[in-house]
Amino acid sequence: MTATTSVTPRTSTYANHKLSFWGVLRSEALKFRTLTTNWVMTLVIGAVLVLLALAVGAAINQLYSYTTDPQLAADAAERGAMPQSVEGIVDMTYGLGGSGMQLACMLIASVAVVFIASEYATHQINTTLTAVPKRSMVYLAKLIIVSIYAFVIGFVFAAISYFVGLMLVNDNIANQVDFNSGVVMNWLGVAIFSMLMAWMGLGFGALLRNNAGGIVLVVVLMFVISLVFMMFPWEWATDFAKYLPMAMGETIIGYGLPDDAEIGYVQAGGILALWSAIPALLGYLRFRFTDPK
Amino acid sequence: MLEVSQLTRQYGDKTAVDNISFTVPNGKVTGFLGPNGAGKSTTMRMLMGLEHPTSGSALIDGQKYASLKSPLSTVGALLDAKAMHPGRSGLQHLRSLALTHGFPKKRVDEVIEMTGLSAVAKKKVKGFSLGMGQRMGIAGALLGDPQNVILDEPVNGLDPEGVIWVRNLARHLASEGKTVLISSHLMSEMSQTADNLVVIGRGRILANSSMQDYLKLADDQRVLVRTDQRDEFASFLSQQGVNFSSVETDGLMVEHTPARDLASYALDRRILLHEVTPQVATLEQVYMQMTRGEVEYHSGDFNAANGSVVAPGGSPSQAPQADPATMYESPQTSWGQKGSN
Repeated sequence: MTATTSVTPRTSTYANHKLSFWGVLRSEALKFRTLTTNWVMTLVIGAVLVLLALAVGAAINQLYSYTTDPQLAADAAERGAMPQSVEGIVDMTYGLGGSGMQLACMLIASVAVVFIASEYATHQINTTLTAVPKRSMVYLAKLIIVSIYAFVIGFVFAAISYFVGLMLVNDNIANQVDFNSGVVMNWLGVAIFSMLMAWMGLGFGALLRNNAGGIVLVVVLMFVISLVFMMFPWEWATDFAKYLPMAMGETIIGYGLPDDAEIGYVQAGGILALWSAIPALLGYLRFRFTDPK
Repeated sequence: MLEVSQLTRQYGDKTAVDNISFTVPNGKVTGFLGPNGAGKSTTMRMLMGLEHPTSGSALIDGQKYASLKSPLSTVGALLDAKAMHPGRSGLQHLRSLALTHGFPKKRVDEVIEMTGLSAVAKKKVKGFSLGMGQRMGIAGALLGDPQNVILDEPVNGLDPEGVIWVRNLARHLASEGKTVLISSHLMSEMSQTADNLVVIGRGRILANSSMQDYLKLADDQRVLVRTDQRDEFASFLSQQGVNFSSVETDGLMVEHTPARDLASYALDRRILLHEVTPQVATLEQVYMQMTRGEVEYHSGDFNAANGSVVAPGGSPSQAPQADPATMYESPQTSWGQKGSN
């Protein structure tokens, strides 16, 4: 063994630059916005919401035609279609902004999955955790970034989709729409749904550390489990299905809940937040306590 | 200063790092050597907080990495040249690191220029060669002008100019009093760069010493003498009971006899020696000798006679097994020509 002689090293020029949460947040924001895939996915999400708003706009016109033509209404009734009142059709119009959220919610969650899981796939996580050894700080920063992203695109695309869909709606319906009767709140609901999906995606991405695996888990929780529970013959299963995340999301983005609705907006938001917080928490525990390979 | 104390890391039944202790002092380049799977990278990852030790501690300037206030200005590490998102440019990658500590943009530009990546900094990392990735990784390691530098296989994939640059960089950092820990499999490179060596095999420390002391472990007291009267001198050595072997047409490799004694013998018998060269073992030879039993992954021996590869423990019946020390570097280029490092 050698006796070690130690000399005093020159102090780093940047020794006074401390690691800070604000810095980590800015770093994660830069990492998020510098990936082309995130911009492509954002365009796809926007396209899905706008196109489905247009499709619902066309469906609204179809429904309206039933109210003006008794023969069409009779034909529709024969086919099993439920003619709507004009008031009901106007309420559907208020919800144009979130028409595509059933599909878009999974795309939003996928962006969050990839934001964290791709760090493991590319080994970037080693660099990230070398620069920021406080793992909780990294996870929280990522959660905040995807939350802001999802909330903003949810709100903005809901607004765009609403106005684009409204352009297609028959004037007789469009003229009855009152912008001040909660449309913005509906967009807010879409934004919250979108943000909670980002939590779920980030959680599953951190839990599995695999892009495909994380996305599959989101799809299973949002779609497959709902379908499975709906198919069960037992009453408890169908009752439980009402509390599954997709049902909660639909409630949040629905316009004009009936007065006797079992689950209100706030309850639905709370239950969906719980559905999303659990994977986010499990993902955090894996991220914080399991070393990257 | 890096301090590893009774560090152990287990993965299930396998012990990757087994109760090792060593110190990497300031102002020195310390080479970290060991065969594949010996535990070098795992030890470095534990120093950088990327893996939790099963027991023991790995400290940087007396602190755990996770508790450092300014990690990037305390330690710079290159652990994996590919640890970057391929969809991001090198510039964006470095800026994302700089933002965490609030380093100015000009520092990013400085390290890019320092590592010779100015021309490709705005290109996506997926287009980088291994060497460019290494340079980018080194740029990231130097970003905070750190007091400790850990480089895991930094010269992999680098061109000769890059290899020399890394060597000079390591020496320069050490001259500033900084701590430099480098792992490499390139023995010739390490012998020119490192002041001290830590050798690890199967997770255990095999040696921890200065380069000079390490080379002395070779127990290789041989002297090459050349003379036009070789047969006469060989006859005399035989009478004295000295072991030797013939080298080429005029040389003798004499064992365990000091050069001065050999010169004296020759003078007494009026034999002209036109070369008397004490042999110094190369780092590679000492290393191979030391780690021969500690290799996790054994290669097959290449049978030059028929071009076949024979697995260890097989029956290479034709050509004799090559000395591993001679497999990669001709000993004739180093015998007698290499000074002590």
